Formats: sequence, C-alpha cells, structure tokens
Amino acid sequence: MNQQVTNALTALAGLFIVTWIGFEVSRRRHKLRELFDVLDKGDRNLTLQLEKLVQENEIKPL
Amino acid sequence: MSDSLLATTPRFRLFIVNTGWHSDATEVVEENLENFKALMGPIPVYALSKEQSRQVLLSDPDRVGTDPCFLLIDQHASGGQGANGYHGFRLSLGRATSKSEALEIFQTFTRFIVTHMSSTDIERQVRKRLKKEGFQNVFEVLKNVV
Repeated sequence: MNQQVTNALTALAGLFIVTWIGFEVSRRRHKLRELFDVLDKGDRNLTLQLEKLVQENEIKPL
Repeated sequence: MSDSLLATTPRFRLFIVNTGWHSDATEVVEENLENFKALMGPIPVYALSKEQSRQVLLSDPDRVGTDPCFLLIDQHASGGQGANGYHGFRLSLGRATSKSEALEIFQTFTRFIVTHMSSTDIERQVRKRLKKEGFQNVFEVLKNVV
C-alpha cells in the first residue's frame, strides 16, 4: 500500500516537473518573440504606414 | 518590385518608433543613437517623431507600450511588398526590464545587423538565431530543474 502511494506521488511529482518545464519553455519563447521576431501579417499595418511616411517625404534618414 | 525600382531603392530601411516613454529603454536609445547610426553604415535610419510614432502605433494597438521599436525592412527580399507581406524583423526594446538589459539587447541587435547586413536572406538568419535562443532557454530551464 505504502509502495503504491510512493509510486503515485513520484509519478505526480514527475508530471508536475514536466508540465512546469513545458510551461516555462513556452513562456520564455513567447517573451523572446515579443522582444525580437521577423515581420509577419500582424506587422503589416505598421509597415505600410512607415513606407507611406517615406514615400510622402514625411520622414528623412538621419 | 520592378528591377528598375530595385536598383534605385536601398535594400534595407530601418525605422525607429519611439513615443517617448520615460523609460530605461528610451534613455539607452537616446544615449547611443549616434553610435548606432554610424554602425548602420549604408542602411538609411529613419527616426519618427513622437507624434508620428503615436500615429503609427495607433494602427497596431497591440504594440503600444512596447516602444522604442526598431523595424528593419528588407525591400529586396523575395515576395516583396503586397500579398506576401513585408520582409524584415523588429525589436521591441520597450520590453526590456532594466537599463543594463536594454543596453545589452540593443548592442546584440546592432551586432546582428552589422554581421548579417550582406546576407542574402536576413530573415533566415533571424529564424536561426531564434531557434538557437530557444534551445538555450530549454537548457537553462533544465539546468534550473537539475
């Protein structure tokens, strides 16, 4: 009986650690992508506006 | 983009969007802008005014508060503008949590551009770098567990 309880607790602890690792890796990945990433569809509006500013001579290079 | 337009358009354009939050990241950018501009060499650097930055960010509200942002646009990348979207990458330096972190990220970003500005596919280099950082994160998490 004691052995069964120990096994169950060990399995539970293992599951907890694996879940935590997955969560932490995913959190760090998300944070990194928020900081630095390639341009995607979500950046389209922003990029269009920037190009428009250049084409309309609203901004000049430093 | 037509061949004639390609010949007259610089390959990259770098934009700095900064609405002027009183933050460590803004200080880092202001203190190092001259050095950054010099290191960019042939890449034209456009710094938007605070008002222009606000207007631009209002078109993408999810990015509000993540500035100063840097966007490097590759005008010559295959696919170009239009249906396939734009090519390039961005840094949202406003996400940095301290001045030293902001400076380190800014320096890494600058080094990345200087190193890869002659690469034929800079987006691929960005993806490689992200993959590498991802693996490092996995190792760091595992190291913390062990």
